[in-house]
Amino acid sequence: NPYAGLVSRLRAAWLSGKTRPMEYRVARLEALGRFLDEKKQDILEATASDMGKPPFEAEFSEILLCKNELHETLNNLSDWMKDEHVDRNLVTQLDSAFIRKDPYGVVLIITPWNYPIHLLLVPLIGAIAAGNCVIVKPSEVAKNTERLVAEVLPSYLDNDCFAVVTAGVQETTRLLENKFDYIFYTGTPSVGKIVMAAAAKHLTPVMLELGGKNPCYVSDTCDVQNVARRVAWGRFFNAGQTCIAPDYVLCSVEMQEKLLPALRKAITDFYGPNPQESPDFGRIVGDKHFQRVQTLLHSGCVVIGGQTDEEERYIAPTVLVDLQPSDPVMQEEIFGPILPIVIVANVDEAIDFINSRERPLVVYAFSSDDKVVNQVLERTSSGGFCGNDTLMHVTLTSLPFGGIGNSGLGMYHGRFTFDTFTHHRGCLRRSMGREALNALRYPPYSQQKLGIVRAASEVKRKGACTLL
Amino acid sequence: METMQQIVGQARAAFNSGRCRSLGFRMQQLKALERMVQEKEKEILAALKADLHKSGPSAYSHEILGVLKELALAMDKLPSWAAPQPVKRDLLTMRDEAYVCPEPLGVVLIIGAWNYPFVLVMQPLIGAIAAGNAVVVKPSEICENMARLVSDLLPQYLDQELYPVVTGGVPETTELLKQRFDHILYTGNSTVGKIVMAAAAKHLTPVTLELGGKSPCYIDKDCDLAVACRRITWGKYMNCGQTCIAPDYILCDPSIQSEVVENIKATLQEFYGEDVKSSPDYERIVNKRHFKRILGLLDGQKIAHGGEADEASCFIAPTILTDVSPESKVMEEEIFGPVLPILTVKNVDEAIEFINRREKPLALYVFSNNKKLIKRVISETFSGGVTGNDVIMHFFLSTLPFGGVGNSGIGAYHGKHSFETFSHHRACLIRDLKMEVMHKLRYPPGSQKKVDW
Repeated sequence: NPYAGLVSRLRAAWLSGKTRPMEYRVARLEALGRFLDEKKQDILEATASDMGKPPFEAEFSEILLCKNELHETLNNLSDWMKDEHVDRNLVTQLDSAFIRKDPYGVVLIITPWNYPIHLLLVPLIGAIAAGNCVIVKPSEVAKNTERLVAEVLPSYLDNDCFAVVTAGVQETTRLLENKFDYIFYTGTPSVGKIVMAAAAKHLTPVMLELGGKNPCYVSDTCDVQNVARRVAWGRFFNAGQTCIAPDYVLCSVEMQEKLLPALRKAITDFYGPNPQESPDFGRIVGDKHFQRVQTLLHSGCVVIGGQTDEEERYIAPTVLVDLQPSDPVMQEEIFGPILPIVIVANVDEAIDFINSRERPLVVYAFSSDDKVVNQVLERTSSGGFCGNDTLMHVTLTSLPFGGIGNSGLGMYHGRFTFDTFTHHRGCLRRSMGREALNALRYPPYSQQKLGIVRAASEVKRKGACTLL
Repeated sequence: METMQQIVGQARAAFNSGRCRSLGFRMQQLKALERMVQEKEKEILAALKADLHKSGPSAYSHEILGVLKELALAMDKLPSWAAPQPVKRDLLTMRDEAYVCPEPLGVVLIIGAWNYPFVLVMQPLIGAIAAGNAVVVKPSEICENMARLVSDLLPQYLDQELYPVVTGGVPETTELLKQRFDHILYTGNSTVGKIVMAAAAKHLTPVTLELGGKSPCYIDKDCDLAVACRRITWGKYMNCGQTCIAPDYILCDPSIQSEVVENIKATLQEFYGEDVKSSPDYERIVNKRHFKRILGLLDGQKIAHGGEADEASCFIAPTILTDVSPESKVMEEEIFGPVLPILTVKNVDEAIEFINRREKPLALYVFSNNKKLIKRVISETFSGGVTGNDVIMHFFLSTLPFGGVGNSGIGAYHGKHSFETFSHHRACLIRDLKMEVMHKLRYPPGSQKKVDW
């Protein structure tokens, strides 16, 4: 077991209690803030090398959003850490009843390549805030960012209690043989199953941030150009490599006719006539991924884009039409800059279509009619929901972020990350006195004692008649 | 004979029909459950008596009362629990609607345990129904009478497609676990807990595992021993020690060990009289297998009190062991029986160290007049939950989440925590299609000016 030494070293550090005091956690979190400030340029360069991430996108998603989470955490940490006192019942009226926020212990965070800093730091911030020791495993697919994290991040961390492990598939499998007190995994459903199976051997709780095909319903009543801009922005951000990107559009034939020129205009406004030359459009992260996404271009009919350049791993912002639900592009999460449009007659058909498939990370619905948006919301199930926009629901730290079914389990962001890495321990502190009150619960039992217990413990429904 | 696939498929189709979404429907089902408990009280108590030799008052307080309270709470609070919760917005979302909407997960599986066979099926069921799910209920096959009763009663009171009861042992449960659920709540032991979680992993199903462990009980020299021992005796020997949060073993200073024994002996006399076997309030071990297992733990031990047993009736007397060695068999696994080992430790540091060297337990108990010491023990150890200066009681306060940590479990429930466990908290952001000007800042072409702003 190649990682046994590392894990036991961290476990010893954990048992020493070093990571528990608030001052310690604050110091570690502030160091992460310094990492984001001092290494901003390096982060921008590494993500540009890895997937041609435009500096604007990198600054927004990898730096700004992380700093928001950091500040939210630092501003509220002392409140989050406090014992939470709870309402008591008659029997415990004079006791102290509270929920303690205990760290889990040694936590493992496995991160993906598409937002390699954000999806590493945001969980890490929560894990540290909750008082844990952490092993972080950055993705080996984003090689430059992996190197940056492995070489530079440790100097901002306390190496007694935190470690960065670089590992490919084989090594990660070995790493997962060890016992952790919590595992946080962001990635695909198939690997999610492997992670959870490994966790089951040790009864380790897990958080899985997975993915799916996020549907985007566009109703007939809407401002087409605004919709086109918001959908295009969400789809082509990071060259489509976003777990919450709108994966495909559902709309009527009439709407498709209006949407296509609007999408064309939005793409040109964003990236110019030749997106390959735009500094604001990214690239596919690796050759294998490029091949996979490129194959999906054969589904249906390309009406916008479709150009590719293998050397640069460039795939143009593309829109496909004339699709069947059974086409390859409609079978897997696209994770690339391709937007298929599937025709549905009306909102009911769209809802049925969505409900016949695995529950996605997010459902999008666009309409000027509130009722239509609410219908889609109420009649579908997904991790999250955003009406009349894409991606933005994850920028609000007060909203929990997570999947359901195939798209994941658990939720985080803001306070929810702290809660994810915390064991909420129910505590009742009684006094040695007032023993007489306990007499009712002790044997020998009698109907009389029971009668008193029943009367004292009854929770009456407000307004209900108590005569039976 | 329907297959598991058919039963679960039917529950899923029923869930998809949408009829269990409305609060009115859920209330109706909860009300029906309440009627069931009230109307069938005699039958429920009879099953508990037949399976576990539980006396009427004991069975009522420990199983029925809790269920009625949980039902009343759920019916009272459901509208507020199920309501969308608005969240704080930021500058960018100031004009939007942002809220968290609790939604049902879908089809939930509840696997009950045998030691409190009624409440451990009903309490999760209440939460799952309140949260709007379909529920497949699998009571423990070890309590034959209760399993039969539950499978007879639930279809009489509840929607039969949405809340089917499945009975059977290991082969049936294995087949059941191959099906896809949207949450599984299992109460039982860690070994089977791992099997349940591994089955859940195949479908990415979230789990709540209410397991067990050896719940330590530290008695400080500075405490009212008579009171402490009475409370410990109550929690240890209720249900013949077959309680997941029973104080499993005692840690105390050697100088008070014999006083502890004397106090417990005196309390046992108070509770069960001279002849424990003839007390109607003392239960029996659930079956021969567990009887033999528990008796085996007494080998080579110093029996300070008790030790009598009768296989025919699965009776084991309340037993106390002294000067127990940490390496002995009785200290290896959760005892789950009326055997109380006492281990001596020199001081609270040693006690804390002892506790931390072992798997995290479901409950932790500490008795002391010294508040600081209690705080210290709690903050330097780990456990699912804690009661200070008493035992068991944190279980009965439903505002406290009840669950384990590490080997003692994953997740928690009771009261509102049940509702949350069985719900999906869906983040919703509803924006306006107008006000496009506000959004232009984020669109390419990007520029340093935009970022700096």
